[in-house]
Amino acid sequence: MENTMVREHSPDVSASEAVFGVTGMTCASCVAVIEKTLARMPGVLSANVNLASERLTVSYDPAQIDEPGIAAAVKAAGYEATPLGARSSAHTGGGTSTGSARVTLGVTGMTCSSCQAVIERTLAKVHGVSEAVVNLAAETATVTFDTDVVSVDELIGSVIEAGYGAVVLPDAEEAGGESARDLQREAQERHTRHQRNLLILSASLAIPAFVFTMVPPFMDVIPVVFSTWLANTFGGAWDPHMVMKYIGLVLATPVQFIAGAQFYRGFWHAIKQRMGNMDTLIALGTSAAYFYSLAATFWLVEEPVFYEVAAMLITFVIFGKLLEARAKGRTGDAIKKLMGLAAKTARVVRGGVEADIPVEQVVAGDVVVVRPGDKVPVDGVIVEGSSSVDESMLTGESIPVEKHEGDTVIGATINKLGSFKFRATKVGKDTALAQIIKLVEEAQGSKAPIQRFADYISSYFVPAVVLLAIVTFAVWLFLGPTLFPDALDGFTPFVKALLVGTAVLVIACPCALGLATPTAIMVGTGKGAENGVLIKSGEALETTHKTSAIVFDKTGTLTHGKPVVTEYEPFGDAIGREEFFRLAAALERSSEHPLAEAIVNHAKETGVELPQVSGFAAVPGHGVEGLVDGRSVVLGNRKLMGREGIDISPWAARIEQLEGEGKTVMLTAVDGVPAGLIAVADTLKENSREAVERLREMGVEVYMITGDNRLTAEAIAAQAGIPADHVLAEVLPEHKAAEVGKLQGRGLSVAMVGDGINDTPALAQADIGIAMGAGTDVAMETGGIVLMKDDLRDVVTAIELSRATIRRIRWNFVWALGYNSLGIPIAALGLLRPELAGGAMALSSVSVVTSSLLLRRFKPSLRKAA
Amino acid sequence: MRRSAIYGAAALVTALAVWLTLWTFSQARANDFMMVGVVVAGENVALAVEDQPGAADSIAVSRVLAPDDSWLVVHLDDDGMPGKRVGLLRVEEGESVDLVVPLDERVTSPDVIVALHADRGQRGTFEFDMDAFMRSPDKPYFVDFEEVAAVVAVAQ
Repeated sequence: MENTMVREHSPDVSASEAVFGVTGMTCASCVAVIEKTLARMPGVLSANVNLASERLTVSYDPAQIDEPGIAAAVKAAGYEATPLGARSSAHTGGGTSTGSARVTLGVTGMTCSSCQAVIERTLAKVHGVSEAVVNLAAETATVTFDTDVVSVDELIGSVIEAGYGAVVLPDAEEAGGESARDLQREAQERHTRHQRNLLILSASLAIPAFVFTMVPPFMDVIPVVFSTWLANTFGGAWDPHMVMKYIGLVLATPVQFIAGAQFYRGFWHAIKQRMGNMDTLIALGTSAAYFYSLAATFWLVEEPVFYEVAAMLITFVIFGKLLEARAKGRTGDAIKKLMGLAAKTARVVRGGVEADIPVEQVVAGDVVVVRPGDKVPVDGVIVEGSSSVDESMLTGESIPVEKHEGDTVIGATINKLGSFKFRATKVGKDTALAQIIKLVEEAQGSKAPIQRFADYISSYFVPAVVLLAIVTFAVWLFLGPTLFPDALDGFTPFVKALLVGTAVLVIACPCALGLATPTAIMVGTGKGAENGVLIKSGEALETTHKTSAIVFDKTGTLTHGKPVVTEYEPFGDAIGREEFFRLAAALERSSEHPLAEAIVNHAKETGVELPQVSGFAAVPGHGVEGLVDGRSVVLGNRKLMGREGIDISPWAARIEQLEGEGKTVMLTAVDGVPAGLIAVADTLKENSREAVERLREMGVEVYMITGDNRLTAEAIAAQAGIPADHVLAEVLPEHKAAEVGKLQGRGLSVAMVGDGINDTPALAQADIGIAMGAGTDVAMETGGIVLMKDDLRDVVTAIELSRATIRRIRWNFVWALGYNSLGIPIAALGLLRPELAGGAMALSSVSVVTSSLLLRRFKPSLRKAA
Repeated sequence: MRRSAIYGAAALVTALAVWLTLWTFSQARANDFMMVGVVVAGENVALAVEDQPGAADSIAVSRVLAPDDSWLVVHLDDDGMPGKRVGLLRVEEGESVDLVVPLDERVTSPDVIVALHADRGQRGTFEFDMDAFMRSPDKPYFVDFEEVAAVVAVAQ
């Protein structure tokens, strides 16, 4: 629900924009009231109220009105507006820029999505907070706030005030990573320990309470024996029936008020926020059973007691939450695994001496020594030696990569057989590993749009359940004796109604619903990282599954992006094949043209000795010429041959054939005689065709976009298996985004795959941008998904993973909602005792988390085939 | 060390649970615990009644020691078990002697059973229903799993 009131204003007005948190709104009419009120205020240019987020955004002329004035106007209309700071300025920059910062808090004590909502709402209400996102599965709260208005301590205070624990998580991970999450891990462990102690306490009291009062012959013998012992020890008269009630009272009271105190606290804080959550249901359910039993112990002595119901229910819920916490812990395994990759020490050369130092002490510029089998401690560039390095832990690529002087090495990768020295370029939080960890953590902490569904249902669920429980209670109380006389099980209608109402209250708790999305996102993003696919947000993960068209940038994405010699052929017998190539390559050594580099590289790779060149000259737009071994050599295009008066017409057909294959043909003449041709082309990557085929099998339309001419483009596309009508050729870099837009205009959900260097606008325009090569900072910052290595099969992996995750989330919803849908009628019909409902409720969360954990079995289809 | 302590405690708890279970079952076989009323120590309760052949309108009770305000209840003997209630007399806490319990109707069995019941619900109102034994506040007194009661011969 979003509306805007805009007033016409002069464009030269210096406008500011302010955001307010608004409370007291209940419906769309409130939105209209506030907007109309503000629209009448002098100086207000536009007012936009979002009912869902309870935010008011006002654009105003600071010369005529200020923030307190706006807040006062809203208050006069019957609502509360809290300034959340200036967001941005319009026109001539009349707004103020506030000290915006973001902090991630580790939060303990959350039990369900309602707790998440309580904390989000609590933080959002704090003056100066512009955004608060709580991740139930990761147990974190990411808060964007104005440092001029509110401090981190105050944020933590507000979370604690709401009944939860909070600690600050360091923003960026150190390369070692281990220490960065210690605070949260400690807090979580403390919380788990506390819960375990509470479980021991409650189980050791609730189980005897259940056995002594419900299980024959214990329920018959124990009270009598205990009564006899009391009579013989203290005298007096003891009714075993009453003694059984006292035993229940003594055993259940500590459970109710020590182990169960957390539910009362949560209930109270939820009430303060006018919300309901799992604590509301558990506190209401157990209190109904406990306080009724208390009355039956001292006043309504003829009535039975249900202490064991309350005690067992609390025990089951705590037990379930502990199981859930344990399972939830495993959803973050990927991050732990990544953190565990970091090296602990590094051998650096300082003052000419090699010394082992903790990796945290390595600084950029240090020369680091890496021996066979060592872990590369930080990122850097090799200055001496060579080796092969296993980068599989970061890229998923199983084959070790050859590294020579000048090549970059990445921290946490493992050196194989050789030794080398490298100069550290990135250390600590700047290393690729630290960046990856940060990126994955941010993704795991983000909310996928599909979660709005769960949030929406949860917000109505608890009040609906309380209402349903009251209706069930009333039906059983007033109509039970008439409608179901045989189902009263010997209880009075009141007692039966109480038991049934409590069971409904407990079974309907929507805890599992709140976990359905975040746990799957956590496992999904973690699994992506394991496979070299960095998914930057829950939204990216969700959007990817909808991909119906994929656009590959040609150069550097489908192809290697580096021209290589594909063939060289002599023109007749005048000069030998190897000889003409030797002369041509020697000449090209002096050229700086990219195609020349391809020829020289080929010569080096094939061991061709290159003689000295004299009289080298570049002929712009034509080619190069010079003297090699005393012979006049020219190398270039047709124009150069024409200029030199060399007839190449006998080979024209062959030249055109090669050009038709997308190759650039360079012609050579020696001493004025045609000598041969060299074809150079940017070749397709090994796995491109396989990836394209698989994508098409998956029902995704595959396009190629390039600035190349259509002939060359179609030749490469044909090799990749992309049909000619799916080739977007001769597109300038600045027009690539428009081409993506055209596909979107056809209703396609488009993924754009590029290297993030010259296709950033297209990556941004696409529904999902996939950037290749995590080695570059640009790639890391561009697109919703970053592929760690230049392998297009990872695009397939990303889509498969996204589809698997969304499928899993949907299954989780089926589990969670199906459980509630089945459980509520069973409980309402009186077929489920409250304590069993509690156990089932707790286990439903465990089942959803376990279902998410099944995603850990995800394996990319292409890798499997390989 | 800590692990040993945990294992030790677990073993102790298990042993206790097993013992309690076995003991409970052995007790359950010996007694019908479900029908045990208000339990008192032997020194705090007493009931002395002699056989009274030919008694028709009342039963004389020579001595009662009641731990609390109580009821003397006379039942017909129903094959060794207390049958229909035919007489009722409220007695005060403490010792009472030479009491006479009037009988409401003619005795049809050779013996009657005189039992001492608690008065724990609404004081002065006898609230006991054999069919709702557990929920009845005025249950009979028991000492060491035995009801405080006496079988009195009334046949000529």
